[in-house]
Amino acid sequence: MTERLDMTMRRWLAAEQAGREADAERALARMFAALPMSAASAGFADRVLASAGLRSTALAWWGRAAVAALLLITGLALAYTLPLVVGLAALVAPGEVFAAVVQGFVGLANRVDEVVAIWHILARVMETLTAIATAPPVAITLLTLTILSAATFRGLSGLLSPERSPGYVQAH
Amino acid sequence: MRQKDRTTASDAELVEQVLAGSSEAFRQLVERFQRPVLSVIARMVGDPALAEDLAQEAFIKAYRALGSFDPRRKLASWLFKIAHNTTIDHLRRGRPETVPLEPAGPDDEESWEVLAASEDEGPQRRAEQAQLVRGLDAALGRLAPRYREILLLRFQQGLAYHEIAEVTGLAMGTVKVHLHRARKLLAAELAAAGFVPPERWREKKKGRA
Repeated sequence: MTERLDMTMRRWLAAEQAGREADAERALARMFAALPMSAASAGFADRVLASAGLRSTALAWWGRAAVAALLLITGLALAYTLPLVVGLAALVAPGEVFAAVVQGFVGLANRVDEVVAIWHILARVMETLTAIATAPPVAITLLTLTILSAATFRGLSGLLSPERSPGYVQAH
Repeated sequence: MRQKDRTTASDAELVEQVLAGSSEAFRQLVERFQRPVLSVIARMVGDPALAEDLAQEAFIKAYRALGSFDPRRKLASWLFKIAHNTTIDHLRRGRPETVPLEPAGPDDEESWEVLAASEDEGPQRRAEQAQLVRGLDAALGRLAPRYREILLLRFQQGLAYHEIAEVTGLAMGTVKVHLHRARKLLAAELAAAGFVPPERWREKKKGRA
């Protein structure tokens, strides 16, 4: 039967008063054993490892089993498909493969050529528009229209939400 | 090495594996010592969240200094020394030392009862015992950090005098003096809080009669 703590405390205090060091220490150790030890929050060890620049490489048993199964399946798949790949390769002559690769590059070069031609057309159009827009009368007109648009937008915004206007706040 | 071997590995073996580059061994080491280290720090600073930060800092310092650990020494003492230095550095930086109004134990009474219970005790007795343990925890919280630490290292963690001297950097004679003083102060705190054993109280009553 374990001793009650209040009895342990009595023994401790009595030993302290009588100067019986060893008895006092034994009784106090028994009392301290009853004090709860602090538990770290979940993931404490993970945080320590992360802060120390370590990663845990441990896998649970099911993780290891999954990796082993995947390796086995991959191995079996390779074993079955390798003869097929070798057989297919035997059907194709090396010269034909080379010709097909060259044909591919030629086709790519033709496509690039077409894109460049379209790019030239677009560049000519933009040059023309720039020449028109930079003429003084046109530039002034465009600037005036921009200012008018901005002022109109501001006015319309103010009309739609009067409670946000400073004038409204002061008036009310 | 298999996982099972690491969980039963000795402290020295774990240190060896960590030095060989095993992060899993370091995880085992942290999990093995996190509660004792955290318990001492938590009761020194009085703040569980701060204690966890300091404990984390202590373990990281330990990892970085593991190469200098002498395997002939006890790993627990070495870790407690790092934890001690980390906590003292924090306290010296002038951070206000928080002393909890409530003890650093569980919030619910039932947990205290479970901790304090003996097998053949009824509910009332368990509640009384739980109150006693809470009182001890609170009295401990009212002592200066150096006395709290020495009491915890000696009586909760079971360190020998020379190990406490190593942890705290004090001479062994000073450790004994501090320990003696700490016990007296603790007894005085408990008495002041009214935790006088029932029979002693009855004797006092008789004395007055």
